[in-house]
Amino acid sequence: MFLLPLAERHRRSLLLGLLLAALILQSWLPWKPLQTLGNVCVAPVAAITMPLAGRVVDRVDPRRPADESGGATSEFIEVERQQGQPQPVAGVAWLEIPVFEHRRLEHKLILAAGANYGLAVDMPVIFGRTWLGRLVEVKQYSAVVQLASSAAVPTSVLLQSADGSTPLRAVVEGRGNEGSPLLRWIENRADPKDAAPVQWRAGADDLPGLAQLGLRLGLAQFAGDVLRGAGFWQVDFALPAGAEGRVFVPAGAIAESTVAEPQIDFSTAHLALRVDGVFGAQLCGLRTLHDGIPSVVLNEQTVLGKVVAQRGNLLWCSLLPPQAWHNEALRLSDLGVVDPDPIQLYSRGDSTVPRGLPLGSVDAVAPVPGDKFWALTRVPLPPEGEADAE
Amino acid sequence: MKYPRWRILIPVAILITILTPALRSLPAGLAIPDPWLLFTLMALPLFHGDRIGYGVRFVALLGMLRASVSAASVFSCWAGLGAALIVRERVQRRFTDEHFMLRFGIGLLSSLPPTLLDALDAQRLGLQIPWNSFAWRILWVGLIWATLKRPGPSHSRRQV
Repeated sequence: MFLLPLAERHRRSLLLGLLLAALILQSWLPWKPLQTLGNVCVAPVAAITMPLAGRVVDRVDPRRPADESGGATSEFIEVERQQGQPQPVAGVAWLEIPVFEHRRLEHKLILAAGANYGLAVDMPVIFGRTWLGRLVEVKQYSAVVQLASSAAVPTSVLLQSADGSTPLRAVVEGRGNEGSPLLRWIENRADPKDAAPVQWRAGADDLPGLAQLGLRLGLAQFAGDVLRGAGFWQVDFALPAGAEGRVFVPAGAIAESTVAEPQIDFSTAHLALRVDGVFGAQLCGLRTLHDGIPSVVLNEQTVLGKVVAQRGNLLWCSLLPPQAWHNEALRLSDLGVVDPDPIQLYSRGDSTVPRGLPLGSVDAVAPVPGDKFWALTRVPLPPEGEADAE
Repeated sequence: MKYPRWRILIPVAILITILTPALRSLPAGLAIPDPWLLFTLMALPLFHGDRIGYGVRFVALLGMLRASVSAASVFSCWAGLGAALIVRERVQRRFTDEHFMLRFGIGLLSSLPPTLLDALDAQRLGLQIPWNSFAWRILWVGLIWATLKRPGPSHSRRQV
């Protein structure tokens, strides 16, 4: 097509403007497939430039990690296990099941074990002396726990009566995100006692020994305004911090093992570049030895950081101090145990980051990468379509 | 208008890519101006609508090299460098480059888009880069541009 020089110039400017707008849009709201394609294109160039730049950085700034970095062993998991283990009951074995994901808004826990581990629908789920809920969905390798706080989920309970007579029967009904679960259909022969524990009541189908455990949902609380006829009873149900990591399920007949260990994918990694060319020393580049999508990098025994970008076998890992993990970090005192001095932080864990990894002490500075690392991630649950048990 | 040859541009671009992480590792490394941006602004003259393809290829190469030593997205690198060139093109045509302050202003404006995109990337990656580091980068680019950019000969300015 022939255009006058000025028109041709305008056409080119327009095309250039559109291209730039598309690039800015992609930078602002990244579309994942295109982002992946971009990373694939950059990977071969990065494979050449990163090691070369790494050598120059090592000459200019030969920093090495301090000898005392690392060394905190993960006692978090052990403490969590002790806190969560229910008391022994005759004829009942406790299956320890790792939690894959806590869906807070849905009041559900996704477990990383299913029918393969002997789980079935309606089985009770417990942590220590706390009643959590029941299994409502069981697949071959995963299961869903509906917490007692889920909307419209009824749980039969016993309340202490204000006059000290025999416990009152009642039903706790979850309200989801609306608020604490309500106490409904309270036996009317006496008033319930305020701030007294709400105890789970076994049903006809439950294992007989469970009733002896005295499982609790929380404390009964009277709320609202009685004078206006708007008073009601509720339970301050809260998920224990440890129950985000593992829960316990009673079983009459058990498989070979009673502990379902969380599946974690490990691969070794080596330092490629200690500094990011744009963002400085808050990121470091690593090279892994096998294809995978790691979520976190371990430096000896402590966490080096999260993987924030990946280009083929090259990873970018953020080097932030332990306190920068904010809500994603836990300390032993969250499990009800006295913290050591200095206070150690551990990863809270989610569907990708393993739980209980030592992050370092609360006052530690950002970690300095050493030479060898472990890149790891939680193994994802198999796709939905796989052999459902129920 | 003279355009630099590729056999000069490519080695210099690679050298910048290899050396920049070392600069960033220095104590005030985060405040150092973006070398790829400076190189783009310095190496490419105003296009005036001609040889846009040359500029596109140059930005594509430099953006790719920049992304190869950073966690920043390659699209954000391309968008940043491209936007810097376009801003410079649009602003510089309207002002004389005789005055230091005007050149300084052009440098500041040109470095704004890539720096904003870097700040956006840093936020997305969960990094805690102080805002004054980005401000220093912008300031430095303005200063360097104002100092190094010499006014062209009077006849070529008249053509503009």
